[in-house]
Amino acid sequence: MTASPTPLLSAQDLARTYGVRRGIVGRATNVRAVDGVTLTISRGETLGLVGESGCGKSTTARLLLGMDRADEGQVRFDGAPMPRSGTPGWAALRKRMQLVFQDPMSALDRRLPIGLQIREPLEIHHMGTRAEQNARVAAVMAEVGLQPHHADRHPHALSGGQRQRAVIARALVTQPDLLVCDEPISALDVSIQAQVMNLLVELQERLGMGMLFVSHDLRAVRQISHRVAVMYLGRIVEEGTPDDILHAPAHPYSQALVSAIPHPGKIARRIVLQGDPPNPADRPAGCAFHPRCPMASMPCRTQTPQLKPRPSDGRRVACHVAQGEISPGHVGQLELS
Amino acid sequence: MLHYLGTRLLRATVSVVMVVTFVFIVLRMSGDPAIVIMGADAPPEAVDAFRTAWGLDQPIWVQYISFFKAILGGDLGQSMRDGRDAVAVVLERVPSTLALTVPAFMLNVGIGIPAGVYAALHRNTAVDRIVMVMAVTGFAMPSFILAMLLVLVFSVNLGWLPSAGQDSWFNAILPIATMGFGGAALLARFTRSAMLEVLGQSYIRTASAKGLSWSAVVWRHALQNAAIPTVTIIGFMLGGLVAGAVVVESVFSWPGVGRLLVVSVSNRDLAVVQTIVLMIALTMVTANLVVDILYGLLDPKMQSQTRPARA
Amino acid sequence: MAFVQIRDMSVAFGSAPALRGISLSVERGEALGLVGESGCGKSITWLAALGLLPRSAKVGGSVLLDGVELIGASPSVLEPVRGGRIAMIFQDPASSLNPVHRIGHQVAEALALHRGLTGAQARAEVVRLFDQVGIPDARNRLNAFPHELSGGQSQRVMIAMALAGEPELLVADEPTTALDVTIQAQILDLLGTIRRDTGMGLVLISHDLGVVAETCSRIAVMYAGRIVEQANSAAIFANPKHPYTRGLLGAMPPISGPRRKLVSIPGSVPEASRMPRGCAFAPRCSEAIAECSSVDPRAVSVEIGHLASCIRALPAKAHTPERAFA
Repeated sequence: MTASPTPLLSAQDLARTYGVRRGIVGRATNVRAVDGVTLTISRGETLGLVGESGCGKSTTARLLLGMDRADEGQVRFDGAPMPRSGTPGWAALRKRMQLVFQDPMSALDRRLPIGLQIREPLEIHHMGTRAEQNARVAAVMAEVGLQPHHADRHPHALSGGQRQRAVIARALVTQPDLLVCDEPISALDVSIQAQVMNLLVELQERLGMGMLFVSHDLRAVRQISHRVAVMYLGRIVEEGTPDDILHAPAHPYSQALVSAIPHPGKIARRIVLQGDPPNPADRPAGCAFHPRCPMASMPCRTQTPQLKPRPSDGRRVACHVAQGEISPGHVGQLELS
Repeated sequence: MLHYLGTRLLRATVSVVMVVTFVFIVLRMSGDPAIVIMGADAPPEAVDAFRTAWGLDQPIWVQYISFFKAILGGDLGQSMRDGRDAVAVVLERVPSTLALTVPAFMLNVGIGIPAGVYAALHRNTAVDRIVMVMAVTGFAMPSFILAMLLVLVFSVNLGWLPSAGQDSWFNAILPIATMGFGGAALLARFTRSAMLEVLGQSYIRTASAKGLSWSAVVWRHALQNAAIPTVTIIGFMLGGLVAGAVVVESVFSWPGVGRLLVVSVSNRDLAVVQTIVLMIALTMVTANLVVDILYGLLDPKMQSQTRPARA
Repeated sequence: MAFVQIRDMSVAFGSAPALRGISLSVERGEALGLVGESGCGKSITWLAALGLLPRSAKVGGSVLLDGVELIGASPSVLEPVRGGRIAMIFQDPASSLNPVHRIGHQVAEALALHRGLTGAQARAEVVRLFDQVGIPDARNRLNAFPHELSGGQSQRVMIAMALAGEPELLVADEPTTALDVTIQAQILDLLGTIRRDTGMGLVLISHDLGVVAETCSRIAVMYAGRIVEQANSAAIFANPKHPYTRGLLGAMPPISGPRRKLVSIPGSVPEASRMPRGCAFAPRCSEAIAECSSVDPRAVSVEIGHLASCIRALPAKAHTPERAFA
């Protein structure tokens, strides 16, 4: 697919810091949840955002939607800067960008039948007459594979897969240009995950939306995304196509992530990272990954690596060693927290 | 921990000041104490003289300031009824009230908690249902109705127990029973739900899976966790020890602090009412503080200062 | 004789059957994977075997541990078994530890119960166990409370607590589902190391075939309260005989090769109270025939050591249904 000249969504150097109190006797510490994230999403393209707890991927998703205001950096949607949340301009943009959450049960109102909930965005944005709205609801339900009689059911009367389809239908009813999915399949059974992944791929091919797929599951990300960005402690550490990342990961963290994927027939010795994922309130100096990195060197402790294309093949990676600037060392393994 | 206590103390002081101010204002707005005490047909000069003597002719904010100065000096004024120090008047009634509330509290805890725990352990059996029905009844029934029912049965019909006054310790039985039953009912319900909540947690299953006998699981793992929310309720009950018997004392004509409060309010005996209210506020606030401290001791999350690490 | 022999176990809550006749055996030191989606009964199997289900559950069938019957056994039989011979760890480690007891104390409790260790001896052993499971700075962590630990560390404490009783079998119920992928790798690695060092058996319960494949030599797939296929891991992946197993394998997004549409099994798991007649999977099965809705499939040996509960799994001429365990 070709990207249109203006990317649908572009974010430049986003940063977001939260102030948090430690315990009851609070000294406030600043948690830099997102620390300089730059990315673009084009029409018809899915960007997968991968990382573990505390990496900032959900915060990034919210910043991109304008639901949270970035402390630094800028988000542009279709060329224009993202209006501040709560303003009429922002509210009007909602029909062009939608969010699918992780837990369908809590994303839906328990008391209302799903047909009404799917129609609600149309009502909010005053789109069409009542008859046109109903026709649109029926169409979108068919698109996601729900039967017409499901419209009268309440969420608890549906299965997990059907609920997530209802959430997707509601997100698609206004024909948005951008769909952000934050861990949309983690709470579902394996066979239902497959159904929803197939659905998302098919919908994107048919409707040409841009999509941001946030997940910790690299396999699912490969299935759905055209490009992948790996996040660690608020920064993007590597970017590339799914096969690039999965078969030839450049960043040591991506390498560990890929080798941790359990799958049958794995014979190679996996890379097991030491220690726990770090606390964003307690960032290590220099490269945030260096305490757990099997190949960290002295410069890694003091200089933060930038995300840039590496000389050998242009792969964007934020790592001094991967860039060939320094040779691998063993500093990281000595500094277990 | 010190910072924790410090903030709590500060808030407690503010609460007390607010309560007393509120009472001060309400009492003076609700009727002229001079007229109430002297009587409606007293001559106006006598009423005026009374007012001046008690400083009631000053503007309200002047009264407030002198009131505060007096409190800080330990002087809460004199009872308008008989001129004695309000503090003395109130304090001499405290032992009578304690004679009721302390045994009642012991009944509450001694019956309520075991009943609640037993009901939780035998959920949905006949015993559980019976305990819960009794708990709801005790909780829902206003204390004066229960008091009167008991009087009807035990004093009037059976003639076993006296219904009023403070002649002998027999007189204390019915009032204690009234307060005991109501409080036990509340505690039983609360303890039962705290226990049920704890018993449904994963760590109880872990304890069983470890090979612990069921009684060890209940005693060593469940009870301490269930104690945490239960302590809050007990704390409030402690707060009511000194002046929580207003209705019961009135019904049984028991000469305690509660009854004194009722009488003083209707007589607009400002100093005494203020003293009692201040005392109630202080005991409630102290009880809350004690609960907070107990919480800090029982719940390890309050003790440690570090934030939990992320998964 | 197998270390644990489960025969025709059934569990019902009220009128709803959660397990409908499970037969399974676990040899000493073996690693068995138990795979299935929500509601298939994989956790209930072991909770029932250890007598950990609520009193209202009706458990039938037989579970023999080294020849001793566990179902319906008295507490004096079950309590030494729990933790002492079969230990169990659960899915969410953060809530599986008692929040008001220090972690050293919780592990020491198991030591006192099963090995009679107390005082300084117990403390030393707790430190050794913490070292074995990879908790850094073990000596100083004895007095920590559960909320001070991360998810990965909590799970390590759970494992230490399970090992305290020196069990011969560890049942791990979705031990890594709530954890990050890199921490999952650490925990699975740890379980492998412990098995090598102590010869302990492992039953790994998971919804993820990949997790189970790496760690277990034999896999049993469950659906709607029954075991639908059992074989060694290589056979399950190379030659799945039951349509549900094939569906599960097809639902896993491939790591390499072209992106293809994933196999999605239509419909959803039937509710326990409304189990279809005949094969429970038939309504969703792409290969179902008329007979599937009337015949209840028994486990059939399709190859040595490979059982499948599907009437279409064998060619028509060779149908001798055998007992479900070798």
